[in-house]
Amino acid sequence: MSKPLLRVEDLHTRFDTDRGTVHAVDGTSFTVDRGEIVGVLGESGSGKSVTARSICRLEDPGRIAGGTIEFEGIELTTAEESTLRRLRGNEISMVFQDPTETLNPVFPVGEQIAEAVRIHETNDRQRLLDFLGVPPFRDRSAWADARERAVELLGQMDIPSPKSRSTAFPHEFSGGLRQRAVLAVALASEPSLLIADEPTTALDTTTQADILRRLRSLRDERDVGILLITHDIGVIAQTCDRVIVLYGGQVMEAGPVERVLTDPAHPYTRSLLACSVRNTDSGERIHSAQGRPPDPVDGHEGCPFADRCRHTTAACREGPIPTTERSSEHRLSCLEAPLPATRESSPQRVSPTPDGGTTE
Amino acid sequence: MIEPDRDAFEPPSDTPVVELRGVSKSFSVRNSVLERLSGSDSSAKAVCDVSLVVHPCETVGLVGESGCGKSTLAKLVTGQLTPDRGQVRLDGTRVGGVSDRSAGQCRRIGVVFQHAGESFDPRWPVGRSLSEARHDADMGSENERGLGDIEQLLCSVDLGPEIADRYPRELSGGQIQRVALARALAHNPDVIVLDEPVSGLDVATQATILDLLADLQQRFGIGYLFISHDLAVVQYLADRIAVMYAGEVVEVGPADGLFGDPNHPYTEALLQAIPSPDPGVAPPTPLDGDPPDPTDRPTGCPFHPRCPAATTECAERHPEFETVEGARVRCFHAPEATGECEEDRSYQPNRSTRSSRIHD
Repeated sequence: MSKPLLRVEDLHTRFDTDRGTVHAVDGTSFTVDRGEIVGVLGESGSGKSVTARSICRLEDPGRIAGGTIEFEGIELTTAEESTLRRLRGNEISMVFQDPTETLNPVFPVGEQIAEAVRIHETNDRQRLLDFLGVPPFRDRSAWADARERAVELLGQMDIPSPKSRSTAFPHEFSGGLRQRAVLAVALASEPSLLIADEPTTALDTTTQADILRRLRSLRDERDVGILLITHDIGVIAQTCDRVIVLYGGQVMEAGPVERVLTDPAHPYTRSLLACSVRNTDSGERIHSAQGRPPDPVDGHEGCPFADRCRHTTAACREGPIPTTERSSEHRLSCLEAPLPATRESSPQRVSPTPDGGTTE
Repeated sequence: MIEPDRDAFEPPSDTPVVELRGVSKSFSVRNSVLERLSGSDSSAKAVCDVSLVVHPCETVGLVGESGCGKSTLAKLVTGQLTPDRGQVRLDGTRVGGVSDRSAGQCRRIGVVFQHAGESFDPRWPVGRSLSEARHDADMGSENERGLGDIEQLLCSVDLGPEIADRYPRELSGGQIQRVALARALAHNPDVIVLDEPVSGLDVATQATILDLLADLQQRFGIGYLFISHDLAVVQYLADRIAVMYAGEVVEVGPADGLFGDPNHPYTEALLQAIPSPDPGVAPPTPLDGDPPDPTDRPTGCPFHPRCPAATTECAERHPEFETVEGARVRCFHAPEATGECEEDRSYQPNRSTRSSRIHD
């Protein structure tokens, strides 16, 4: 088997605060391959965004306290800043939640895309000359090319009349157009890994469907690996190949979407599915999970979900929870699994085979 | 004390608290001297001829893409804007903007703004913001619901009294939404306008907020005008739903019927765009095209450029409301219309006075 595009192994990202050390990411492991969309599902505060930022090494003011992030054979946790600069935006691109805040309000959209194109194709020295704007050294033709490329990218994103739109400012775009423009910026350098942090949360359902279709076509046509962070189960179900359920900075359950969403094995995944409005009929009360997410200060002893779980035993609160393999690729961190079925699903009993690795 | 039962919901035969009669609102976008001199009509028509009623204890869902005029309509209800044409009526009395309304009339409507976090003064502890709202309310009315002090207000939205000393930035998304709701409750409103109250919250928090809204409605008999672009959320909470497109209401009817069997192609397109949480279902098909430019609205039916069923008739004539199985729909292709209908009365409220309303 070939090496995955991205391999995150036992990642720990911590923030030192006045109240103590916040263990935002607490031993997360997963992989992303080319041509697949991996979803990261979890409540707010479960460490989804910090995981994404750690991959880009934008974890500051936090710090990576342990673990490895391997991208195309390069170890990112110890990489030089210059290496990271080369990778960020070039090989790894990121799309954030709010397109309004991602784009600079005082520059035309086309200019911003051209900048992304230009930055990624020039070396540092030329960039400095461009910045200083010294006439004989400023590479004007390259800028003109970059602008043309920007128009081409806008066209690829199906933005109507890309030529005239490229001179428009972000506030003249609708939310969906803006997010498409942000995608154009992210794709300017043809990255092999795209990290999309809640790309559709601020958008309408119709626009969301369009952006998700674009992500799927990126996967199918350009063989891009995508890490899609969201709390919307519908988005995960319709877009992703595999899903990772995060809670308290730890992977609760990971596996193919069909398995995890139709036959969830972890109590946390079950409670997440149960509290989705889409699974609830009108008039019926939504089964919201009791309690609040755990305080991430000073980390967790045992399972982070223990305080809210119905199946908690004394063992859950003690040592680290081993990761078990329920079936191929379907991993689970729960001592009590397999749990009794809560709905019509009948989980087939697969004997747990501890893979030797633990979450701590 | 009579409590409405959500399961056996019957439209109350009360006077509507809020009634919109054929309201229109346009914004002038003329910016150059030349345009001003030529006097060409380039105003953006945000809301066109909308009629809508909200009764006590009733939830009216308002759905549509961003830019379709949902928030403008909400501002017309709250009095932040005044309509160009048409009437806004509170308890059957025609009212103007906020400055023209009496304290008692202002008190009738509570508002939860779109970005709850940004609607609080960042330099005030939330308790101070609440007591300000409370104090303003005391001018106009006596303390009817026993929500006199801040502690009780916070308690009614399931928050502890210690929250009062916190600053908005110290609260999580769900907490700030609860505080915003508490502030809206501070002056005992009859209707609360909820502008996207749960968008941007994760599923678990969203579930708790929706449950809370349902509880508060049962306890206080408040009507909601619930604005959202997430149809699943609206479907869960609303009794009636109005679908807006390009400033017009294109379909209005009982929630169950509208979602089960949509009559307008736009409603259908919105429903199809909801991603299903079941990975086995095919991904949603996005609606092609963009909503029309409000300064340059298409002739005839505003939806015809994007409508799969559009004919030449749709481009030429503007459809009027027709009644189809309890719903009112503006489409030439609506199935088996039972007759023309002039005014927005899904049910005919009798002309009883406000004193018939029951407070607890």
